[in-house]
Amino acid sequence: MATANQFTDGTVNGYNSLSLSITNPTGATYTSAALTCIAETITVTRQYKKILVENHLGVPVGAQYTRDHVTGTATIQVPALGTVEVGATFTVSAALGEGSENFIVTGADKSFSQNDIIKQNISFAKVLSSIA
Amino acid sequence: MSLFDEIPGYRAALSAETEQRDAAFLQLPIAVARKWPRRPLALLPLTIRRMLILEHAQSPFVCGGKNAPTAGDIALFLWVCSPGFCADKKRRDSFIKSCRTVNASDALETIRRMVNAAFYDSPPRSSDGGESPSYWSMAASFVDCFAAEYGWPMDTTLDAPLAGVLQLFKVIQHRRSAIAGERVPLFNPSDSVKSRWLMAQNEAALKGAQN
Repeated sequence: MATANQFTDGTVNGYNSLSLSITNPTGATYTSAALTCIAETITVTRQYKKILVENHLGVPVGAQYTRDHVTGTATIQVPALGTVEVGATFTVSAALGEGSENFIVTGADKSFSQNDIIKQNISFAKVLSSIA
Repeated sequence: MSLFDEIPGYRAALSAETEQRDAAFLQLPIAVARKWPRRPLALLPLTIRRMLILEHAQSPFVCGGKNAPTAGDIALFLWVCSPGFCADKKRRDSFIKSCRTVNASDALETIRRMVNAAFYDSPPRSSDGGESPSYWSMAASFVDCFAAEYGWPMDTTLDAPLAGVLQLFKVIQHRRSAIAGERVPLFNPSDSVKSRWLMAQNEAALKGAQN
């Protein structure tokens, strides 16, 4: 039954719906301006990876835990003007549990439509400031 | 501010949508006013079986078409959705004759509402507009799906209200794709409100970029 605050845009929302401004890369079909899209069912994976240290005999002597790459997926509703393509970039400020973060779209599925509604699944990765 | 409040009319659209979806399972009475007898004409909701019959009869309410539906089209739709529907030609002719007392504009409005309600949760299609041939009837897909998922016999699926069937089909598809690790976007008719808002936002940004 309808109550005031029950609505989410999907079923397993890690986060609430977000309005994203996504800039397609040079050479994309739509590059006239950044595309304002609504991200729903957005999930972000932040995990640690374990680096095992062994001695010359292969005996474990330690382990180092370090942050792994930050990746995520989202279903976005796009305007009829254009869709998002691989290489597109966007910034999320604080809404995903961290400070301001820059992401790059690493996968953009074919879009689906129903009447005037167009949706697309994307996957993305956090852009790191430096390459070690 | 939540996007639900930032987008004008979105929260209200979601609320109306929930009511519409709940109504699909409540089997609320559908009726069309008549001049005589005063008792309104009772109708049953669209089901897969009734859809197939209407499709077979080339009803413009389910097949589309450029021409406005005729009185005959309205009467045929009412007959197929009436509780007394059967294969008896005499009873059909008598029913269709009795439809002359039906309020035509009320009937038209009710039929459109019934069709819209039935297809409220119809599946999305790929945006590239590509078409592929179908290898079986749409009914076969539903019968097979509900037999596999819930053990429904064929008649149960064919006679269940389409509005509920399409919601269940959506839930099943979503569950199956989640298990398979696939992501299929979900659609709400209320997403249209977001679409209009998105277009306004993007057109403003485009104008700004051009200036």
